[in-house]
Amino acid sequence: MNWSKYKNIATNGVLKNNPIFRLVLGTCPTLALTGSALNAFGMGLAVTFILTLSNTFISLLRKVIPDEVRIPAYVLIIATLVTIIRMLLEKYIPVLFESFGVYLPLIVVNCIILGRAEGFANKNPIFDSALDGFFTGIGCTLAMGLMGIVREFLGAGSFFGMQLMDFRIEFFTSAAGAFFVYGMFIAIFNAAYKAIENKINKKNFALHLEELSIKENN
Amino acid sequence: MAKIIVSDSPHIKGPRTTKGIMIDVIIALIPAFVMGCVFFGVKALFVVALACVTSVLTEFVFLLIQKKKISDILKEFDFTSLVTGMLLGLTLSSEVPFYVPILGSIFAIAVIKMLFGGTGKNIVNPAIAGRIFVFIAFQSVMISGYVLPSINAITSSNQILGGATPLTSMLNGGPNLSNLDLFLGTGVAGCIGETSKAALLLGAIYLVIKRVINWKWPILYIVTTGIMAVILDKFNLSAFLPSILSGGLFLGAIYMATDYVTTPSTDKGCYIYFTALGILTAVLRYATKIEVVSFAILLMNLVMPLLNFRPRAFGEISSWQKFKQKLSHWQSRRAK
Amino acid sequence: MTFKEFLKSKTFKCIIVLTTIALVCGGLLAILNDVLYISEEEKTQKAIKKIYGKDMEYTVVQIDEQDKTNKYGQIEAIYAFKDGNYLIQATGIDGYQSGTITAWVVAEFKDGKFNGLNSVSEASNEKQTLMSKFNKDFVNVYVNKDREGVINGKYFNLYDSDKEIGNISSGATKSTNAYNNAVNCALYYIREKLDGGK
Repeated sequence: MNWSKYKNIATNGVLKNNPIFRLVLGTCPTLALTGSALNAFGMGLAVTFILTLSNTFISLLRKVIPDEVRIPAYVLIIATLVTIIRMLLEKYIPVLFESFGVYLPLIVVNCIILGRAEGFANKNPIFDSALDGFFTGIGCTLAMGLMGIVREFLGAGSFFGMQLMDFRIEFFTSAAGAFFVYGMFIAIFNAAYKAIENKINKKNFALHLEELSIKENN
Repeated sequence: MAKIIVSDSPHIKGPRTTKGIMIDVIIALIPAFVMGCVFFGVKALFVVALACVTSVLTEFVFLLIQKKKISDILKEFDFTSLVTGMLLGLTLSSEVPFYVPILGSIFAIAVIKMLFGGTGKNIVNPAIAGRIFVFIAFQSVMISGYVLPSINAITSSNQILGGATPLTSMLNGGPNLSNLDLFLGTGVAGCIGETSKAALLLGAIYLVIKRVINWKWPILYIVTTGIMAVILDKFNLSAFLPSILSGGLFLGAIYMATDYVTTPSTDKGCYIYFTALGILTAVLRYATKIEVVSFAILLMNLVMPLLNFRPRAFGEISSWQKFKQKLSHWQSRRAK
Repeated sequence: MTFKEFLKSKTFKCIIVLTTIALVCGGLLAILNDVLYISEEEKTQKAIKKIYGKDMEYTVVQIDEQDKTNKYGQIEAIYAFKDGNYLIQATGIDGYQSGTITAWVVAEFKDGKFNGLNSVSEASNEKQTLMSKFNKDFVNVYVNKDREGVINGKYFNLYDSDKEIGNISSGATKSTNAYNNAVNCALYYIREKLDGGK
């Protein structure tokens, strides 16, 4: 059990390779569905589910699918999974199905899924790929959920549908506000990430210097 | 022994400063502001003052966060944020709640001006962006919140009731006030600064005399709008004056479209820019039946870098020549 | 290439892999489609339940050809609920840009007599651009304003608030006209055909 490798994959998926704020993939559902927190979390969970399964299957078949036809093969697999999700949602959770509207079939061409398939699943073993898919999806859910909460609170004064205040700035639920909030979040997330990275690097560098000086003294 | 002074260029400075130009603009806006207060009362004064104060405070706070010293900030204060606040206040109706000018100013200064680099680096006109922000954010308040001024129409035969602006009434096929009333602003419901075209014109003359704006560009914009409106109204020549005198065209053309940072730097570019502005305003007004001057100016601001034709360097061949060269090169390669 | 070479070539492997994946996925989806199938009937039932607000058995009412169109528009469908109320889908003409608005109208019937409208909502529209102006307050006018007048034969009319019931949504005059016509169309049918004993 290579725990440090798995921990790496997990934190990469959520922080370093966060698909929404760092890789800037899958912007279409991000901009469209983060108007309400419930939609955002729902879409994030759907993407997580499909990502995990698609990464698993593609990693399973990675030695079988020849390199020339990998994109059509991946799209076939992903489309099947999305169709299954659509049928399940339509039957059992019609509320979510209606609020997703056209964006549910659009998950097929969501760049996150194809990107992780190309970038990770076709080179790594099954469990690693599944883990990476799951945590990338979690990163996506958290990012979209955060945006959804902020946009819904500022734009409609509610939190997951519960009306908190009457004052609302409708700008934030509009399309213009989506781009604006997205840009602000990318800036804040990257600034925080770089600051933390700098601190960690400085600490490592200081430790490294200490080791060197100890070696020299000996 | 003569003193030797060592310094960086520029070594000769003219008398014009950003501060001076901005103070000129503020002086030019005073007639419109005064007429707005006369027409709409103390509420108008309150709205504009709130917008100004918030703009200046936002800039201060932003500069403080950037760790500048207060003495530095006060020394370098150019009145650009004050002008933005005043313009934004003048484009609002006098009945807006207090948070509208506050949030609009914060958005205009913090996002459009400071985040992009401060004075001279805004990508679009900050007052326009602030106006559009509050328009999208508080639509119910902005579309229907206009009131009639305290001085009623002098020569019009019909009053426009219900606080609809003459522009909305005219675009929806309804009656419009007489041209004199539209020009003076009596009986015209609308934003604080846009109703009295006479006051705006006074300010414009002052700015032209002081060489702050070029007289060609506002005239080009306004006349093109009128001509396009006449064409769209099936060549009805009597629609020329009402279409240019209704709505915020004068305010936008004189004070907002001529902002230095967002207009092209060459004459050729400016001709295209302001003609396009005029056509856009008239066409969008015809299509959407609402006041679109701010949206047209925003669109053209974003497109402006494409129109920044730079003059040819000495010895450089024109772009047409470059194209012909590439074409002959490509053809000779194909012949091989 | 000989046939044996073809069998070993890359192209053949690609074809096989793609076909296999397609067949497996297709088979899986076919099975699941059967299991999770939602029929047309279920869909209409869900839609009607959403509009009416509660789960209630209904029957589809057959409309005669000559009653389908009247001066206000036309009737699209009528559903008769078990508890006596009716759900009418009617289209009103004369909207903005000569378009139409189709509305769902729930008519309350007490002991077989028409007792006013319970709810009105938009089903669809043609060429209308300001549908966002028709909020809850506007629609409640159809239900609450002058319920007696609605029961006694008045129609909704923008221009005539004396003999009829006046209502208007600011900024959307022509669309209000079409919406009124849709509700009036339903009312017309109710008064002609459904309100027995008049």
